[in-house]
Amino acid sequence: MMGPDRHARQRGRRLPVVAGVVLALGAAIEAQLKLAAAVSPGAQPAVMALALLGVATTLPVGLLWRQPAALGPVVSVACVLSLVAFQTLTAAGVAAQLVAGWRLGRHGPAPAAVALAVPYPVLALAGTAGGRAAVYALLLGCLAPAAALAGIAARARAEAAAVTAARQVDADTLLEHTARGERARIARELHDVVAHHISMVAVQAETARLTTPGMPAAGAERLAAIGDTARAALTEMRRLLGVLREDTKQDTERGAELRPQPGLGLGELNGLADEARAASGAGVRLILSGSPVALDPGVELAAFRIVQEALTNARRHAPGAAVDVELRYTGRELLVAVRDNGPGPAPESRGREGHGLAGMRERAAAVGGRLRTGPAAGGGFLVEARLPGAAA
Amino acid sequence: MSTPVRILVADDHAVVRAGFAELLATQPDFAVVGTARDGAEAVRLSRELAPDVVLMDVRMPVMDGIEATRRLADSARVLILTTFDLDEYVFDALRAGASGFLLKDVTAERLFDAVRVVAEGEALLAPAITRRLISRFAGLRPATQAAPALAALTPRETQVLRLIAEGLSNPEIAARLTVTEETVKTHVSRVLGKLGLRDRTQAVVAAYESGLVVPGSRDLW
Repeated sequence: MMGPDRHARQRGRRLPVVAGVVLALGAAIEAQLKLAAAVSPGAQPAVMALALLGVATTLPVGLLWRQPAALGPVVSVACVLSLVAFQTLTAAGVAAQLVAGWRLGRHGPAPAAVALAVPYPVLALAGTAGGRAAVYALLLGCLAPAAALAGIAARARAEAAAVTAARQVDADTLLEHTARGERARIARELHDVVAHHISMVAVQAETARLTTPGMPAAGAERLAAIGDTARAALTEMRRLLGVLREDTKQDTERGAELRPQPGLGLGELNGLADEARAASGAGVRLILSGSPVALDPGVELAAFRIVQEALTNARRHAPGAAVDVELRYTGRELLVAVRDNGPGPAPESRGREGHGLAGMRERAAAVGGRLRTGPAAGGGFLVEARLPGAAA
Repeated sequence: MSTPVRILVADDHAVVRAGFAELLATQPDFAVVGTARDGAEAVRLSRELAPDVVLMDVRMPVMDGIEATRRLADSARVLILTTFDLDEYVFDALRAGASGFLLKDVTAERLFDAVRVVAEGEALLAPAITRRLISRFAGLRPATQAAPALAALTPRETQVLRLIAEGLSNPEIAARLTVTEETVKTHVSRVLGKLGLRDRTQAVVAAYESGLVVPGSRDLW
């Protein structure tokens, strides 16, 4: 993952050096060609100086790329010197001046970038440069300020983008913070209020079971079941609070320890089936096919909740009906089907969906699965979820 | 059977107070001597009635269960009633001197067992949960009171304290050290005596707070 990125960065760092060297070579060759064109004896040293100046205007692009504040002045001084003293400039020099001006505008002080572009319009207007130099002066007079301004504009745009990004981060943080606060509030409420009431249910069930004179065995059994259900509710709530607090806790170590262990343990499903049997007195069968494999914990939790909710629904809407809970592992997906042999959906409820079904649908969708509910073939009600299997 | 265990129930909710008192009264070896609706009343009634065990809620008006435990810990064994185990409040109560804690939704049978265990003071109540609770919170906060001086212990006694902190019972410690249970009992009572501790729960707290046992150093679960 790191490799290509690093290579790209290295290429980015090497590019200006290569450009500087290429420009310098271009300038040196151009100066040599001018040397051949103007072979007057005695001009030799001047032309040599011009070649050196050509290199001086261009090579800094490579050497001083990281210091725009130094790059700009060096290139500009060499260019102006070339124009004024030798009445000429190389094409590479023009390019170097534009690059340096843009770079200074983009990363250096803006006034310096503008100031360094000023000599060229002045030279062009003053007419001190003649012949070719006038053309170069005019060219740079137009382009150098434009390059500097383009650099300044690019910087302004980048800075605006950075400010926007920072604001977005602030907004996200605030949102996250609010959400955490809300979760903490819910957790507190569950802890202080709801859990307390459920505890009271458990205490009263136990007290009634053991202290009511003449309590028949069947009654005591029912009370024991009420107590067990209340305890199961509290156990679930402890898990839920673990989830809610996990996000609100800064202490990662503590958070990790409090994390509930969601999972579709067969033991837990058996427990669910036992509970349903005990509560409704009806037959609940657990049918397993395919080869069970560990799935994504989110998928397993969704499957568990869907079975739980479907059993609750069956108990509520088809009391006494026999229920089959089927888990079929096919490798690609896990099929969860809960089917009862009750009367099926009431005609007037068609098209409307209770909270229970909507909740199951959301759970299935949240892990990338689908949920289908409705009358089962041959009567009764069917809840069928297809959840993604082993992660691809 | 010797004299019954004298019990006081302190909870601001009448349902809990009456329910626990009634449940405990069904046992021939228990005698519920009183109920209190807040910490201050629990302290006052305890001075008056001298219970062996106080069942104490944590959050109560006037004086909370932690402060009441701090004031009572010398005269009675305190069993904290909590809605949630592994709770910071529960740890505070243990530091204040409680002998153990109990979920309010406990079954009647486990409630009776817990009261007997605490009354005898021989064993650690719910060793796994107690140890986990203490190890979780003990390391997270600086001790407000000076750690007990472990220097007074012999190497063997230090070893025994470390095993108590792991949640081992006397027979288990005896097996681990290949000595008799009687020897272990002697060591345990010397450890408690030298450190001025009342029971094994307090010994676990002391072991963690003194740094003798480091949280997570021997996680058995």
